[in-house]
Order: sequence, then structure tokens, then C-alpha cells
Amino acid sequence: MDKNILDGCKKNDPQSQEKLYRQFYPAMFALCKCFFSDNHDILTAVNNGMLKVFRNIHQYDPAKGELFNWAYTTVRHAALTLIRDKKTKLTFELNENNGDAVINNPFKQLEWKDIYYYLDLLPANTRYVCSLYYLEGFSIKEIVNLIEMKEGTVKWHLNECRTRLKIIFEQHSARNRNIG
Amino acid sequence: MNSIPLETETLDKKKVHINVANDKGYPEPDVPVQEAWESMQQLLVQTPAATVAASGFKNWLRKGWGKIMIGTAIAATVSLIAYVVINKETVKRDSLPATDTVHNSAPVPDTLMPAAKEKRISFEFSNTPFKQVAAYMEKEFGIQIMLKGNIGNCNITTRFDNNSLKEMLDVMAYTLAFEYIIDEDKKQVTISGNGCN
Repeated sequence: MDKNILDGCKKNDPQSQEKLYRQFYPAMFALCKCFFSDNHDILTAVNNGMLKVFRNIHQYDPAKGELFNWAYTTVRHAALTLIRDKKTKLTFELNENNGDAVINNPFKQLEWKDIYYYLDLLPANTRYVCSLYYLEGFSIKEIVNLIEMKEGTVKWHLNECRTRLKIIFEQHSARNRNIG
Repeated sequence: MNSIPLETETLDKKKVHINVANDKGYPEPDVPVQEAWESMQQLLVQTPAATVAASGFKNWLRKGWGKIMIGTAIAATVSLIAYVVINKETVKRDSLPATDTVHNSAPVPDTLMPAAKEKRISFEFSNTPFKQVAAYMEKEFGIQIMLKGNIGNCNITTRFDNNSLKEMLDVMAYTLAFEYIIDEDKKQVTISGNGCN
């Protein structure tokens, strides 16, 4: 990170803020796209997060890590706030410990564009939980606290994600075989 | 079965954010960066730095000194207003006792609050020369806008939804890097700037 950009941002210099924004934007957009399908929601999460970055940049301590990682965490936090605001009340719960949902990652062999494609096929709440668990690496207990959801519900969404994607993968495979 | 190591390796590749601030590892955003930045600029203007970083002020209030200071300031302001009102009414109607003028007096008309300051309008311009935007604002707010420098030729893309003149000027001043002065007596705004930022 260019120190001049950081110093400029601390002084609320618009040009420095723009440089920083343009540099981080692709990563922040990719992050928020894991959570939201609508571009307006994605941009809201990115800009709410970057606003916090700009307004609190004087609190950033370079000794504790890269500015990018701090900004990434801040934007992710803003996305989670948006998720909590938008979250619909769900009562589904999975009480049994479903090991499959925890171990097998449906995204493990996929590229970004495929990940987004399949995430778009999931319901909003299932998408949040899946992205946090499989793409952001949070544990179930962490997700429970992050989006204020019951543990059983989180497990249900993980199971739902895998079940739905399994069907979609099978349909795609069958279609590819027929084409071939 | 080596599913766990494989999963870890693949996930690590996907977590390109760690110490990778360039955009090589990320797909092209669906919303162009220019459009996103313009939206960010409006957010930055609408949320001034002081209101976000207000924790120091809150602490100051919490300690009690803030309340004392604010209380004193309010008392002083009320006294000053009362003094001004009494004096004005006494000059106008010196036959009446001063105490009556305090209770019966109408509020002092605020000559520095023209209708243009209160009015809120909505509009949207896409890649439009600023002089056209200024002309539209003149008509809507019933004011005169003087443009100094080349600012009138700068193109601007902007959208306002139920905003006041001051809010609009603040956003556009940030976007186009111009300065403005409001002459409330003449209902005139002078905007000066050369660059288009």
C-alpha cells in the first residue's frame, strides 16, 4: 500500500480516497457478490463498508496487518450488517449433527464465475450461510453470532445448500451427457 | 481418500484476498468502478466525517461537562433572543410596557431563510454539462447561479431524491471540485472552479 494514499485518506483527500477505492473495489465486489445476487445490494454493502474504512482509517494500525485485510474485514462486516437487516425469519432447524454438510464443500472445485452462478440459484438466506461457511471459512458457531441465527438453522441451510446443489449438479451432468 | 487436503488447498486458492490487494485474482465486477465510485462520493458527502467519528463528543457529553456547556449556551441564546426582541418591540411600540412585548411579540422573521433554502427537489442528469444542471436548479429553486471558470462545461452524472439546494451543492462541489458561495440576500449562488475532477 502506497503510504501517500494512506496519509491522504487520513486527511480526507478525495483523490487518495478514489485511488484506494479503485484498488480495493474488485476484491470487495467479489466478496459481497458471494452474499447478494442483486447489484444494488452488493454495491450498498461495498460502499457502506468503504465508508467505514474512510471514516475510521485513523484507527488503522499498520503494525497489526495489511490495510487491505482490515478493509476486507470491515466490508465483510458491513455486508453482514446488511444481511441481518434483510434476513427473513426462518424456523427451519436441523437438530441432528449432519456431518456431510460440514465436510463436503460443493464449491471446492469451482471457479469464481461458476461459484456465482450456483450461488444465484440458492435462496437468499441459504446463500449467506453457504458463503460464510464454505467461502469465508467461518465456523458454524461463528456464523450463529455473525448473523444472529440459531445453530440448527445454520446447519439446516448448509444441508439445504448441499442438497439443492447436488440436484443442480446432477441435472447439469445429465444435460451435458445428452449433448455429448 | 484425500478430500480434506484437496479442499483446503482449493479453498486457500480462492481466499486470494489475504495479502493480495491487486485485482488479478478477482472477476470483473458487474458494476463498473466509475459508477460505484460516483455512488461512493455521494455517500461520503452525505455522511460527513465529524458525525461518524463522534465517539469523542459522546464521551465529552457523558462526563457532564458537555451538558453544562450546552445548558449555558442555550440559556445565553435564549437571553440574547429575548433581549433583541424586547429592544425591537420597545422601539416600535414604546407606549407599551416591555414585559408585554416579550409575551405578545411574534417571532422575528428570518430574512436569511428564503424559500429556496427550504425547498427540496428531485432530479437526475446523466453525463450532462454542469451549466445545464445549473440552469435547471435556477428554475426549480428560483435563484440565480453564477458560474466562474470552466466549470459549466464539465459533464456530470448525478441523481438527487428530495434534497435541498445546500445538499445538492455539497455533493456536486465534491464531485466536480468546485467552490460555491451562497448570497442569501440576492438569492444568488456563485460557483467557481476550473477542473472537472
